[in-house]
Amino acid sequence: MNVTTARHIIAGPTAAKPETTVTGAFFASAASAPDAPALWVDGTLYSYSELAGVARHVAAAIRASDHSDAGCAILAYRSLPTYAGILGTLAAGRAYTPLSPRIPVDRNRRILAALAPRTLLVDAPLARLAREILAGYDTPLNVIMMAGNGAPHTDSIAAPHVLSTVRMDDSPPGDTAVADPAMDAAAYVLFTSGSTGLPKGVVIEHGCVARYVDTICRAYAPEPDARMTQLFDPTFDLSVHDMFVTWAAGACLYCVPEKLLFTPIGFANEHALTHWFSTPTTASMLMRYRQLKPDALPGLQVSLFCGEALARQTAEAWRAAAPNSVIDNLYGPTEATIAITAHRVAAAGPAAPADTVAIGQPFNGQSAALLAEDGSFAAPGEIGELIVSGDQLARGYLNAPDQTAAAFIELGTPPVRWYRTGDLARYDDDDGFVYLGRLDNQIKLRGHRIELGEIEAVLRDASGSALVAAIAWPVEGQEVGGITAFVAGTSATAEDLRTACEERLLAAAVPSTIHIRDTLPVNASGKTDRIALRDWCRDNATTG
Amino acid sequence: MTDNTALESARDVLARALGLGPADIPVAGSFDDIAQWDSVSHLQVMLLLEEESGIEINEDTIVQCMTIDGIADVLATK
Repeated sequence: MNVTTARHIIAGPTAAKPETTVTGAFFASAASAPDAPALWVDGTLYSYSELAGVARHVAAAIRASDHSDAGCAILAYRSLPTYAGILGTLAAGRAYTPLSPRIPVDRNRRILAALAPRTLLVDAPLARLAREILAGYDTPLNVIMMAGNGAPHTDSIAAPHVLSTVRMDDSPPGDTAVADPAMDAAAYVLFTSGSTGLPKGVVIEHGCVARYVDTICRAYAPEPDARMTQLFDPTFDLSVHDMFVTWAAGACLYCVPEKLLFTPIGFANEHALTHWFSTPTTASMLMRYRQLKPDALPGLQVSLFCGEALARQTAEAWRAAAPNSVIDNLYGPTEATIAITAHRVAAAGPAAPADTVAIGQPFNGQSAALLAEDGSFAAPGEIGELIVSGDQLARGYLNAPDQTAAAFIELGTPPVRWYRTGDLARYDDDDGFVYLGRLDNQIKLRGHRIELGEIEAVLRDASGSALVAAIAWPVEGQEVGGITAFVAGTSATAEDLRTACEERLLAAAVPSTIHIRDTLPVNASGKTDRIALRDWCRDNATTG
Repeated sequence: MTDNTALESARDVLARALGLGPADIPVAGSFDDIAQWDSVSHLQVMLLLEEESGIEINEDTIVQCMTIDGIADVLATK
């Protein structure tokens, strides 16, 4: 990739700014090939004109009851109304925020309270959950039930909320105009876990998404006959890639049924899918199920991984399973729109199998650099906090100016806006940026600064498994008393692993306890759930 | 294995895989309606079935074993 280096800042290639929003790109694809397949969901294939039709109905329903320009929340999951709701909200010129039956009711409620929308779109089968979420929510909402074409819909919603219904039919939607939002209008607000436990809303503008989708479409040039996976939960911003890269290309999105989310190989082959996008955990789960056999996915042309560190052994297993596919490791926080750097996995090289794959170079028009502890740019070769800048950066956190100011800083002369990722990295002339773990995975134990990622690298190597996690535990108040490690899917014993750690780590970094498990918990985003591991340690503290 | 024995065995395997007591497992139920039964604990279910009953883990059995009846059927034909 053609990148330029100046003053320790690595800048991605220059490229003209895109002129079309993702909303415009979807409806342009629908206008140019109305009969082409756009979406497979729940066993049905919908054409672009069918999907555009239901989206226009949703847009009309939003405008009929809500004359503000506030964003809309959408409670739907892996169904036609999920996608019609998102497209309809955008077509009405509003930003969308997904709620989900896969996250706790209380978290849905907190998101709703933080967002304070005027309109909540609900997939009709989730009406009961909507009532549960709305219990005690007193600000009047327009609740729009997105119903199928079957029997009359009879759901009710208690006052002060007002219920209306929109049917998922594709009858001519009349003259519902599709909004042409400005590039600085919000496209979506997604919530990430704050360190305080309160969800933080990240406001992403159309210009950010348009730039990301344009970069991906230039990099992989998907054709209209491409068939892409939709594995990610809509509350996770990687789902934005799934939908809008597919629809900008005029291609077809395949929503993997929930039951097949962890064994999607048969589904991928049955539907001749060409483009794959998942977390590395999805791939390592397939390895654990012994489904990731050589040549298991011969039809894939492009495989992308994002959301957590990609272990080289996972990438190697994927290469064997999908021998006709390029494999790219994408990196980026929600605050920088989906992903902002990428690295192509080279053919098996001399690298040790315990390594994680590099995260590579910044995307078109974006920059990355490393921040030293004193707040200046790190010197070449130094490890630092990865900071990113460019037109993919979020507007900030919703109604949280202090948190926004702490995370989005100005640096350099003239001042440039940077986002502090909280990730540790170093820069390598060959591979670009190399992810070293979370900054807050750096702990202080008995006076030593310890990087939990380093312990995990040793555990991966010694166990032969990618499913490892090291957490600070026990913790008393602010004081870390030790390290507890979890390893799944290994024939190694805890004693073997402890010996490996003792041989290769500072004494203080050797885990006090190593638990061998069959599996590690996974959160709604498909990543190893460290919070659940910490909770487990706390709950089992009395028994050791 | 008779159908009833298979059903009891299915509930027993499921209870142990999910870390629940036998009384917490309904007579009939599925992945969709038991909160503790998720993608991760399902792997546990499959590994137990393989280890104790020699059930082969493949895409068919992974999906079939997402209901208690399905596990019982797989055990009954073993």
